[in-house]
Formats: sequence, structure tokens, C-alpha cells
Amino acid sequence: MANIDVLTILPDLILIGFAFALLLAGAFSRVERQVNFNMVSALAFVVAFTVNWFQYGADKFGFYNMFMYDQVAGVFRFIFYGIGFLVSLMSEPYICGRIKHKGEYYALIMLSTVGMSFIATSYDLIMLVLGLEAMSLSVYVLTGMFKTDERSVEASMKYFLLGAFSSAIMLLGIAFIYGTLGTTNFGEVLESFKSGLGGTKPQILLVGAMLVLAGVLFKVAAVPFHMWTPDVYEGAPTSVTAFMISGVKAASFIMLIRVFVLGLQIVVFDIVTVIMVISAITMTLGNVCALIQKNVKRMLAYSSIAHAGYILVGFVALNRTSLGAIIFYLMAYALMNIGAFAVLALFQDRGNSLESLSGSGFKYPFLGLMMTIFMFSMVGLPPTAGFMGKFYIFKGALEAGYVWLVVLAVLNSAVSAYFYLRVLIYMFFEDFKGTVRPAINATPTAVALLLTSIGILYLGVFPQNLFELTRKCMTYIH
Amino acid sequence: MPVIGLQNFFLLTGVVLFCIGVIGFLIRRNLIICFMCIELMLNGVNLVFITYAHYLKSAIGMMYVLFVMAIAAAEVSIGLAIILMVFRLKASVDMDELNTMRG
Repeated sequence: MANIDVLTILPDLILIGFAFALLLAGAFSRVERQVNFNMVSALAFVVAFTVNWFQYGADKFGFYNMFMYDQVAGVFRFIFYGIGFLVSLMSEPYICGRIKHKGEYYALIMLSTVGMSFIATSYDLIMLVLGLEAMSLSVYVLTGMFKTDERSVEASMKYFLLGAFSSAIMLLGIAFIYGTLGTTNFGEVLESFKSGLGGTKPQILLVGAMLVLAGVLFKVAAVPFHMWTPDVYEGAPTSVTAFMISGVKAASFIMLIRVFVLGLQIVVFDIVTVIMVISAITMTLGNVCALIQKNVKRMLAYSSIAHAGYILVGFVALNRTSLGAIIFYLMAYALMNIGAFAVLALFQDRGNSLESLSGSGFKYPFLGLMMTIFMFSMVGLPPTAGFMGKFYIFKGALEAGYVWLVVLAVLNSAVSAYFYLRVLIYMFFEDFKGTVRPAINATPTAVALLLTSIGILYLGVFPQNLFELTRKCMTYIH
Repeated sequence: MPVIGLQNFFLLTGVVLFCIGVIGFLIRRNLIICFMCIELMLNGVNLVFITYAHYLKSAIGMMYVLFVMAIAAAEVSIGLAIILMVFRLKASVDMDELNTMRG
């Protein structure tokens, strides 16, 4: 088993190659004018997706047990590359004219995706940390991509400081885990727990696990660590917010599953109680704060906190149905968020106030229809993917006997209908002000919108196949 | 495994360094000082790693230290660039100036 198997990270290597090629192309002004960066970037993601398609299936270890490419990693790679593809398509009309060197933007999106995919494939805590840093550092820069916009720079600064702070805390946790077990490889952890410690759990191991959990929950944006979320999601360029809210969130949940269900299984039942309380508070606080927002981006940021709470319910239940449902929910969540932010990005208004959308639903019927689908999916109304995602998560939680948590989550979704549907009320039942015009010549964005909405409706009407796939791939638990 | 006094001393130093970093990060308002506090936290972590590596007689902890140093270097380059952008826009590196977004 101890060997270097380049095939385990082949799609990521392809992405890295494309990213460097784009950076290089951006360095020569004559080349830069001729290259269609968003199309090259979309092509790179399609290639990576296809390679992953052919690799999917068998479990592979690589780089001296640093990577384990299993089916969960494969499914998450599909999610990440899909997100990268859709974000590459929708970015162009928004960043056009605002970012001077577009090559850097797309290269950073790709490198960040590589970091996410490393997180999903890692089989050792050190690889996980490196993937996390590769992802986060790229996203810090992407957040501050609008160098002259105060809010973008401010968001970048806040995200960077708090992100670096949380990863330092996580590293201390890893140090304590290493100190008690003598290893951080997921395969060896269980063995050394049995042989070295004789099955006892020293306090310091729990402290380490809690510190790592704090670092992960920061990325998830669960409640005690959610302070950065609204500011960063509001200040970042809209296309980057779409990328963060879908990609970074999915990456942090696979990090949670990978560390505590695959790696440190020995402490998972100790942390579930903590997560149960956190998930209850997270979804309630996210929804309550979202009720009073006037800015659509900020409202969606608070709603992302609430959604993190719902997904954590799936982690608390900790059975195969609920963990498979987490993956399904993350897919649905990525589709609806990228779609909603693509519509917002088309209304090229940095304010993103609710008023600026007034009456646009009838004026631009295509965008109105799309936004309706995305908002219905966010509330969780059938026949959309959001409904099926919530349904499966709650089903898993009920199987595990967490009735009160499910009741709370359902009540929360009822409350959330108010602020999601308010967007539609502004779009369809207010007079058109004509202050904001959507970008023209946005064919790629239209394609992205069509793909996301078809995906949402497909997953809403025929969820069975995909859910069976996600449930089956979750081999960490029986 | 036997707990030795000297080991505890080094671990305690590392954790104390880390805690000084945390406290500094939370109470100081200057962006550069906050940033230095994060570096202090990372160095505290490094000391903990190297102590464990020495007493467990395993090289993994030392590898961690090298990687943490690399991560810290990457963070420095990006962090200082962002602080520079803030300074260009606001002519100040005070955290209280970062208040455009509310709610």
C-alpha cells in the first residue's frame, strides 16, 4: 500500500496545470487579450470532471497513505468540479471591467477547488490542514479581488484574520491529538488507540478533538463561530460569494465527516452532544437574523448559517441515511445558491438591496422564473431539490430518534419562508423602478442558470437514484 | 506513557505562548499586531509539536513543524498584502475602521 499513486489526485493535477497556464497567459498582455478565460476555466473543470468519472469506483491509497480516494471523495470531487464549472460560467458578466487580470481570478478558483478536493481525499490530518490552507488562502484573495472597493477589502481582511486564527486553533488541537496517539494517520489512529492507550480516552485527546471541532465549525459557520459570515458574504464579489457559500461549505462538511467519522471515530460520540446543541442554536439564530435583513446578499448569508444548522442535524443523527442525506443536501444547496447569486450578479448593483429588485420579475421574466425556482428550493417546497434534501435529513434524524430536533428544524423552515418569499414579492408585486439593469450578452450565465434550475427540478422530482448513490458511498458507518 | 517534568515544562511554554497570542488577538485593535499574535499562536503550536516529537521519538511532529512554518509563510505574504490594501483605502491599520458593513 505504501506507494505513490499519482492517479489518486490526477484530476487535481490537471486543474493545477490549467491554473498555471492561465496565470502564465495573463502575464503577457497580447495573449491576455485573446484568451477567453472563463471558457478555458470551464473546460478545465469539464476535463477534471470527466477524469473523475472514469476513476470513480475503486478505493485507492496514494502518497504513502496521505490520500485515500474512496467513493465519498469521488462524489465530493463531482460536487466541487461542478461548482467550479458553474461559477466559471456565471462570473464573466459580473467581473468584466471590474477585475483587470481575469486570469488570476479563474486560476484562484481552480486552486481553491484543488484544496477542497484534497480535503475530501485526505487520509491524514496534515494533508487535511494543507488542503484547508490551499482552499482558504485562495478564497481570502478572491474575496479581496475588487481592490478599490472598500467592502471587498474589508471582507477580505476580516475573513483572513479570523480564518488564520481558527486554523491556528485547529493546529493546536492536532498537536494534542498527535501527542496522545503518536500518529495522525486515519488508518493508524484506531490501532494506536487500542494498543497504546488500551481503549482509555485521556482528557487531552478530547481537548484536542474539541479544538479541531472549533476550527471545522468556524469554516462551517456554526453559531459561536459565525460572526464573520454576514460581513464576508456581503462584502465579497457576488460570484465569489456564490463560490464560497457552496464550495467552502461543502468542503467544511466533508472535513467534519472525514475527521470525526472516518478518522477519530473514537471521540465521535463525545462531540455529537455538542453538535446537537450547536445545530439547534445555529438554525434558529440564522433564521431569526435573516428575518430583518434588507440586503439580499446579507439575507442569504444568514440563511446559509441556518442551512448549516439543518445539515448539522444530519451529522448528529449519524446513520447512513442521514450522512448520505448530507451529501445530497450539499448538492442541492450548491445548485440553488449558485443560481440565486447568478441572478443577483446579473443585476449589477453593489448594494443588492431588496428595493433594487422591485418589479424585475415581470420585466425580465426569465430571471423572475429562475429566482422563483431557487427561492422555492431554499424554503424547501416540493418539487424542488431543497425539499428532498430536507426530507432525507429529517428522515435520518427521525430514524435515530431526534424528534425534538426535527420539530425545531421544521418550525425553522416555516419561519424561513417569510424572508425567501419576500424576495419574490418584491420582484413580482412591486412597481418596476428601472434603476438596475441586468447585464446583456450573458449567454454563459444563462446556461449556468438553466443548468442549475434543471438540476434542482430533476433532483426534486427524481431524487431516488442520486440519493441511493450518496447513501451507498457512505461506507464509513453501518 | 510516563509524564516527565521537563516535557510538561516545554508543553506549558508552548500553550502559554499560544494563549498570549489568543489574548493579544482578542484585545489589540491594530491589524499588524493582531497578525503578529496569530504568528505567536502558530509558534506556540510548533513548540508543542516539537516537544511531543522529541518525547514520542517520532519524526511526524517535526514534519508538522516544517509544514506549519510553510503555512505561516504563505499566510504572511497574503496577510500583509491584504493589510496593504486596507491601508491604501483607509490610510490606517486600525480594526475599528473596518465598519462599512452593519446589521
